[in-house]
Amino acid sequence: VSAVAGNAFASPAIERGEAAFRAHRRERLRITLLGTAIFVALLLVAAWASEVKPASVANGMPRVGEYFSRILPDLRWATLFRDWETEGSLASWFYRADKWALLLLETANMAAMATAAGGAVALPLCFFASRNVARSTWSYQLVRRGLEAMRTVPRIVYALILVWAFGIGPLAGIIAIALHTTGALGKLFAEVVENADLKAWEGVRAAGGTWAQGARFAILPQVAPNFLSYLLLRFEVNVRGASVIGFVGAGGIGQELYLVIAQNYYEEISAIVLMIVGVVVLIDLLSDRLRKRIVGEARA
Amino acid sequence: MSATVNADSARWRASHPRAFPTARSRAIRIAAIAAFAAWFLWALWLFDITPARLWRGIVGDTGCSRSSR
Repeated sequence: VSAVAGNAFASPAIERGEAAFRAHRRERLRITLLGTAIFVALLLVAAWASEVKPASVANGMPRVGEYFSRILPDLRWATLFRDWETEGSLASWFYRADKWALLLLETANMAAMATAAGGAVALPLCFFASRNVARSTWSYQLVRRGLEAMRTVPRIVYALILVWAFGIGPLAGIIAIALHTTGALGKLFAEVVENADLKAWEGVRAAGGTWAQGARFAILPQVAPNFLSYLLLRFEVNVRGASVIGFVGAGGIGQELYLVIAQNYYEEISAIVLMIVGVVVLIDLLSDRLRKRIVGEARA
Repeated sequence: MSATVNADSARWRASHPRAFPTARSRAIRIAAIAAFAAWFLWALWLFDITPARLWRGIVGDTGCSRSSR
């Protein structure tokens, strides 16, 4: 552009265009700098309000490293594959693997039960919460706001309340996760229904079908693969949630993890965390493959 | 009437075989539903989830709520 500007043949129109371009760039730079300054100022205010100080972060970081070095096992190559009574072996690190595996199975079962229960409640509710097929504005608003309320309360808060009501154990955890799942899946399902083709719905209704028959025979067959996909996605989320919810006494591997952390059994902490990560990764991979297959088959 | 419906159905089945479930796909669906039901009942037993226990929790006759009264 500057080469053109320096050219003897440059016309006034080109010069005016260049000037406008430079002014536009200056304006954009000014807005970017102002935006960055506001963002940094807000960040500093937030850090001050939440008492985040660089000195405390700097002091805490080595302790984080120290904790991680404590939870790592003292494995020795010479005894790595010996039995569980030999110190420094893998078997001694995972000496309670059978119990933890059962607890992980319980956690996965809790997540599956909660997903099934939450999905079963969200399925009928989603039709009331979809703008295009809702029975009335009142029912739409009522169900939508209800679903919002259900997913706004964190699972751990539900679990604390439900442990008080149902006692310590998996039941409180299952209901806590199911309540949150209903809120989350209800919204996702409703959005799928809102994007459904309404020609079949209008056909069923015009032929004298009831609202429920329209939902069952016109909408559900279209949206079922997406519903299943969201259900599997939610199952993945719930497995992670169920691993943590045990911290408040709601069963599963989280309860065992809380115990070993509270009693400073450092090596057991890392063993349990590794097993949780392994199971979550495995479930994520399987569920991802299944979801892709279901959605792929539906599109085919 | 029934004979007409059956004849129609047979004609549609012959002309559009992929629109109707095969015996194999029907068996797979029934097996999947049965497996899900079996797992669900087993999980209810495993976690000791009974209507009575749920009711006691709702009315506050169990857990910490009972001891706090």
